[in-house]
Amino acid sequence: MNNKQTVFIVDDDEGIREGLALLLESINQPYKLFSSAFKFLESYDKSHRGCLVLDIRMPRMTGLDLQKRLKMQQASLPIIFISGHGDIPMAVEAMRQGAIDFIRKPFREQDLLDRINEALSISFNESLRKDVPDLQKKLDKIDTLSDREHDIFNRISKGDMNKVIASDLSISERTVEVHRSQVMKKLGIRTLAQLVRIKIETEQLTKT
Amino acid sequence: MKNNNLDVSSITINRSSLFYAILLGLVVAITIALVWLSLNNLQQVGNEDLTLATNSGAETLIKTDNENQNSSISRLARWWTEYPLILRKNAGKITSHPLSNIFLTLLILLSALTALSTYIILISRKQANLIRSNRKRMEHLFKNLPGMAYRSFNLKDWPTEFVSEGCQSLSGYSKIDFEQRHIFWGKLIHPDDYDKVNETIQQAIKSDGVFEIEYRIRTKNKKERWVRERGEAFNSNTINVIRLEGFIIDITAEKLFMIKLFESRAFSAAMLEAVVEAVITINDKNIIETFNRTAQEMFGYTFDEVIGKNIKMLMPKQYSKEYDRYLSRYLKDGEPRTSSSSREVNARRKDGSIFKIHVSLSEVLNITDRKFIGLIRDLSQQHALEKKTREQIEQLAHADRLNLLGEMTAGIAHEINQPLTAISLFAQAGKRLFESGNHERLPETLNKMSEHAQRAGAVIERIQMMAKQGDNIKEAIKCNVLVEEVVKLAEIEARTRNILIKMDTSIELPIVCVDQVQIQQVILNLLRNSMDAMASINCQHGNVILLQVQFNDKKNIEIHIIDSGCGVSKQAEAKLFTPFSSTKNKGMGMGLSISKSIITEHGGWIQFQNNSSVGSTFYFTLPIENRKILRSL
Repeated sequence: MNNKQTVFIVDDDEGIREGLALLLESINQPYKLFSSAFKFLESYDKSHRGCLVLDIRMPRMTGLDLQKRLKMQQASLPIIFISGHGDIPMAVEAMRQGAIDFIRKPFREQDLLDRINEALSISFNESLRKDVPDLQKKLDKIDTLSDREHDIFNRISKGDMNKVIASDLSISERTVEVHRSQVMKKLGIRTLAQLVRIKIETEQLTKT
Repeated sequence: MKNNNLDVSSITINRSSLFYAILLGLVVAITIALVWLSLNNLQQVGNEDLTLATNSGAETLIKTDNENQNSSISRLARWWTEYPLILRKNAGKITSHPLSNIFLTLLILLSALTALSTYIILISRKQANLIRSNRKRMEHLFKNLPGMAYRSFNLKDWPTEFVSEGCQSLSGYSKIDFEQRHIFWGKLIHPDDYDKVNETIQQAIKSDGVFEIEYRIRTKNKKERWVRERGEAFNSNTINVIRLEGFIIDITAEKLFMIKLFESRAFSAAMLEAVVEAVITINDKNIIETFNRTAQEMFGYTFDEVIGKNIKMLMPKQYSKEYDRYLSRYLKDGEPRTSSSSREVNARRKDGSIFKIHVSLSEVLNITDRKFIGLIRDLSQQHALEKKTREQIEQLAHADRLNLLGEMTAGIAHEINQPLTAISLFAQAGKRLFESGNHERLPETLNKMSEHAQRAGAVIERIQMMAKQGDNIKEAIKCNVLVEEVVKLAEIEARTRNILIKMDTSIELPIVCVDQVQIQQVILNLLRNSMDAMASINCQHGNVILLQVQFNDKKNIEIHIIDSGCGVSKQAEAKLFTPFSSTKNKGMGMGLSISKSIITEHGGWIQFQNNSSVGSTFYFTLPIENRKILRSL
């Protein structure tokens, strides 16, 4: 169903580019490879349909920089960020800037493919607010969190690492992990990206 | 010998005297005989009786005097003219005269007496001359001798009978002073030495009479002098007193020299014992001649155990050959060296344990043979201390490295996640390719996986090297290898910060002997500081750090890290290399202080300056490894 759309891959690491290429090739998904944000911008055209798989950390122009440039150009290409272990705050920022998802390296190929499919369908439907009806449900779920869990939920969604949270709250890292899994369970989510997205969406809702 | 010579000369003198005496005796005898004969003839001529030639001389003389007094002059004149004829005419008849035998005997006795007396006179005169000249010679001899000869009586203070002229220069008193007993030799002897002198002489008298003694005297002008007296006691025949005869010389200079020598020997001996260094003297055949107390303590041998033995007993076996070469080279140079040559070597204690020493060897410039003095310092303590310092530095350095790595976690994780992600992608893609029956691309996929696994391994290895506790071993390493490796590590972080590290190593880099990890740590610290400085101003002056390696001089290389960051502020400058001072929010403030310790320990120095345009430059030196030493490694 997404055959007409292209997955644009921007990553400075040749190994990852090649790996992604081979993976997409194996499912016959059309793709284009770019070794830097500049090279992508050079060849980018608004008429392009598909999604962008963007490495968040690159020399000279980072994934975040590219996201901003595209936003300025009012490009509607959905973006999936690939982030490293320490880049969660950046990824959270990317989500706030409208990225539909982020995935941490190393990742399971199915997780990425699922996200790509999701992104391509969003791109196809050109709808970013697909989840709105579920929003109240999500708010209700957040209300079920204890104070400590709520605190930790907020911190995680800012991109704080367990270690940092443990230190700030003067509790052990293990306790943070327990709270964290409890939060995920109560919210019915699996990934950090989903958690960040709930946070962003509920924030937007409370603002409006 | 001298006595013999004197004898010979006196014999020759006696012989010539005898000859002259006999000659004179003969002359006298002949003269008397002629006078007598002539008088006899004159009488006969006067009587004109040629047959009365047998008359005795005395009677004839009286007759002649009485009878022919008036005509004696004319007769004498005739005798002079006729004498030879008369003599001939009466020759046969003379002996027949009864008185002539008695006359002849008297004549011979008279001439012998004359000869004898003349001989005696001549002999005595010559003897006198001889004695005079001998005496003069003796006096001359005594005068020139550096001391005085004497003959004295063995009485209190030894009154002198005779002294030579030398007494004047020796004691200040004249010959007359002594010989007329104005001064006694005993009075001049130092009171402290008097008893000793007296005892020695009295002891000698009891045995063979010969004595020799050194003592002090006080001269006329109250100066103290050392003298050596050599003498002999003998019994004189005339008086019942023992006489002493001998010679006294001035040995003050010699004695003072001896005292000085003794003092200087005692001084050097005391010094040898007191110095903290071990002092060992050997001859040119490596035989130990002295071995001071420190040496005994240091090596565990007693003096008796090493003296006369070969110096090699103090060396580990493998060093003795090297030592042979060293010494033979030293000796071959020919020229004795006063400048010491020093080096660090291993030594062996009595218990067989090996320890490091510092030896400085110098040659004693003796007249007779070559000797060498080795000054030895035990370096084991110093080395232990240095080792401890190194260990402490390493402990701190290790802590700092772990801290560095901790701060680099994000970069490191990223650097490892990259190949891991790639591997994971290839594996999953490969699986799909396999499932879809597309087998052609599988080998390529597997190759890629392996390649990226190795890439991840290399990163881990680099990090592990930084993380491990150092073994404090300095190794010879090519400078560019050292720098390139650490730049790769630094790039892990540089990439995450969007910073480029450029290396400028256009020159052929030498070899340095360093603790690789520690030096890389220094470079990493400096590179990270530069990155921080540049990140703090968002790399507004560019994102390139330049790493330059250049020769400082022929002995050192200089490594520069030039950034375009915020530079070093005046406040930070003062505390730059002191521990726990940091301008960074999360900085421990250990990096630069440890870097400085590391560089100092390696024999280099570290410095910084703010660039004229932007940023700052940190630079440090490292001594270049001597290639000669490297070859022997």
